[in-house]
Amino acid sequence: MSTLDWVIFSFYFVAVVAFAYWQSRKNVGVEGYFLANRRLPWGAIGLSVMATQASAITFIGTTGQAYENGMEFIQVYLPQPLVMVLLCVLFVPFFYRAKIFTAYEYLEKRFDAKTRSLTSFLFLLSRGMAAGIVMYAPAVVLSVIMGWDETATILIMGVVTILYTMMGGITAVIWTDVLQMLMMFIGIVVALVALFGALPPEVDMGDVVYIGGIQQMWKSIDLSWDPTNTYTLWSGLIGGFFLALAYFGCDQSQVQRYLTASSLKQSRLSLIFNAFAKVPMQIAILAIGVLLFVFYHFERPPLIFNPAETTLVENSSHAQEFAELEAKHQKTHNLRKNATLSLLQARHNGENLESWRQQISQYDQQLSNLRNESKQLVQNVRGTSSNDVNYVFPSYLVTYLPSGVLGLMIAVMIAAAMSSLDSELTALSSATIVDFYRRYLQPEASSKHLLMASRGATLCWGLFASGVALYAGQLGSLIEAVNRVGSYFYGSLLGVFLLAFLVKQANGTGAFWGLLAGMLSVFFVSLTTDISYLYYNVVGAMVGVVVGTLVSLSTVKR
Amino acid sequence: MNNKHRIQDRDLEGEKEKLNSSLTWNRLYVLVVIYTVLLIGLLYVVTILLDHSSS
Repeated sequence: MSTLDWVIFSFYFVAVVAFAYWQSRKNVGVEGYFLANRRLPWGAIGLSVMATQASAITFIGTTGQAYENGMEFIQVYLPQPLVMVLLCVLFVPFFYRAKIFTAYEYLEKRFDAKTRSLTSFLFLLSRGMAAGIVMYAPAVVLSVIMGWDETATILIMGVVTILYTMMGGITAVIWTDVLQMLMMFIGIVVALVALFGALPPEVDMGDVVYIGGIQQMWKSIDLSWDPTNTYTLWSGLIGGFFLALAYFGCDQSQVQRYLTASSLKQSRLSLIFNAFAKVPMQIAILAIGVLLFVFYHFERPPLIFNPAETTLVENSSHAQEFAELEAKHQKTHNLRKNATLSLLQARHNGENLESWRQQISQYDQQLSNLRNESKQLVQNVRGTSSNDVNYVFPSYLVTYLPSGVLGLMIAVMIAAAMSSLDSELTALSSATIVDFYRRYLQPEASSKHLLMASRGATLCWGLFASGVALYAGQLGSLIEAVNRVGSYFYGSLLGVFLLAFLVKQANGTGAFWGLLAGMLSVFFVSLTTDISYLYYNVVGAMVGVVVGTLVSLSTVKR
Repeated sequence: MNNKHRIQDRDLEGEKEKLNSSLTWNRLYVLVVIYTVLLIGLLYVVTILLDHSSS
């Protein structure tokens, strides 16, 4: 990075901390710390809801995914507007009227203490680890691409986020999320403009659309009914609906946001804002990936985008094979580039495009095969599969963006990571203090005492997340296991909340067994079938509601 | 009127209140549903029209 990049990057950090400090002056007491004294406007909450969901992986992984598979991932987001409506109608009024601090606190009011404690504990377990991954994933990518020290990257992100979250609580978190979300919007526009600007001057918008269309990169809707196909309209609408409902309706990191609203109306408006804005934003992010695909028709893409993996293979016994793949890749890229330029010329002259289109399609396929062979070599050397998709966008940024813009884009990625991490930390801290510390250990504690304890909990969770991030490379199977528990847990948790809202006769025993049955059913389904992971939440929620209802009815009869 | 009552009143107002003279919550929810259907329709049209994988 140039001096200008560093100046812009540093300015971001200073601005975030200063802004958080300025906002934190308004915090008084534990309600101020966790709920901003329930006085925030819908615009700020809406942007914070969006920023919490958009992590650095959204920018890094989603763009890479679109580069390889096109726009199909958008189908997961399509039911989100409908989810927002259901939240406004069903979830938010219950939460808001109950005057709770955490989503799980509602479950004690509705059911009993054991249901609250179990759900809150499972939340802490899965989110505590996830907070570490929120830092680790972008830190690994940025350290490889930028040549930064991985530990230093994690520590800088961690320390700054812990500092402003600890200092300012939810008020600082939400307002810095607003700043970070605005930066992300700017980043998306800058990336799209930069990519268009980097194309050869003779290439217009219509050409970009046509080249992407040759490999069906704009395919956004897949009507196939195959349940093992991960991204279809049906898996998106059904599985994505339950996934989003569980995340926005039952995850404390999101529920806490709309509990800070000054009124029920403000709470709902923050979600309606997301109903309209979220999908277009996601389309724009995926479009960056498709534009990258088109861009690399004119510039040769790396065979492997992760430079560390390239070096690894080049220094292994597979070096000769890799060199041969590189040579083939260079040759095929040149052929594709010439065919693409010829196609554009024919297109502008109104000539028949068929032969050029077929050639480009063949070269696209050959390049994709060469890339897969290279990934296989990486896997042979490393012993684990390549996650090269995460390096596609950062590699482009470092190679092609001018000074200043690169600093802004790296700051955008760090902002995306920090805006998710800060929300995780306040959510973890609130669940720890409200659901356990105040509930079981210090029920009579003063507000001042709880505020101190809350800051301590934020610090502890921040240190825990940083520890997970620092050792994530060695914790592989443990993290996978925790993530797995999280995926089993999400749908079942939704089942418990649906039971609470919709089944009048439901009781604590039913909710408790419904939760466990839901988790077991997802575990069973994941082991015995190949259905898309998106359906796990549907299974967990359905089984949770059915078992919860049956157990509740049977215990009432006794 | 104490603070607790004021908060409760404010909440009830939030629920009953119209967003503006012509827009109620129910109309807004219907707008979101229409928006979603249009979005899916638009993306389907994009999928069909921009598919150049065959002639």
